[in-house]
Amino acid sequence: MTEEPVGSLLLIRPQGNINRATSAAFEDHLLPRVNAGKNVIVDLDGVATVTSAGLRVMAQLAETARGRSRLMFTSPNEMVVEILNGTGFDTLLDIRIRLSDALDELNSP
Amino acid sequence: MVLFDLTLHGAGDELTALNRRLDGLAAFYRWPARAHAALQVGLDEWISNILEHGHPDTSKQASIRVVLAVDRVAEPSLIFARVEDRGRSFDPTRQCSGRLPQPTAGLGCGLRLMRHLCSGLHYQQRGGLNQLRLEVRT
Repeated sequence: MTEEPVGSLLLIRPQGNINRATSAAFEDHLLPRVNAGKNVIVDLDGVATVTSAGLRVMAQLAETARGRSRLMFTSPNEMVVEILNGTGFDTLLDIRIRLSDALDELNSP
Repeated sequence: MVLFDLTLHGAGDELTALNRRLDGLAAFYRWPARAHAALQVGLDEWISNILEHGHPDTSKQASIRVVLAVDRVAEPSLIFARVEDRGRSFDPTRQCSGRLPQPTAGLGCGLRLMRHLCSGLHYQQRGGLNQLRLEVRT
């Protein structure tokens, strides 16, 4: 997982699968930043799959961010889109198909 | 043809190792990305389910056998995994399917994902041995 500041927000890029084995590390990385009120974009371009363990963490982070900061997920691949849509998590998470759209939105005054 | 036959005991890095083996096989056999992902998600969900619900007594080590195979003669486009354990019986094919009325990761979300992504799920329990056959079409 890599992280880079872009203006006033953080761009975080997880890699591989967000699943039972990796979701705790994903949460540990994101939660302090969201708790601190940072606006965060999670670029899912390098994520192959997400399981229910990963969805659970993503939803909890979104809930934590509500009213405190913006947490946006971008660039999911076809499989991740299918998983998000099939489980209804597309309605819980703030998702943009393109990273540029998320950057424009969060960096705009 | 058996592609691998391994036994897991619930250690955290075993699922990562399993996924790496699937990555290697997918690259070697040039499985479509969707089939590869469906296998990874399906196996991760079912093994997680066994560890969390089938073996609630964490003082006893779980033993989960995972056999991945293809039948190149009868159905060359089908990859199937057989998962065996002796934990609490649970038939995932009897659970409801379809889109969740509300997105709740803890209430059957993993099972619905398995059913959605896999071409077939077949469960049986005999003599205390749970067997799930999970099928993915390439």
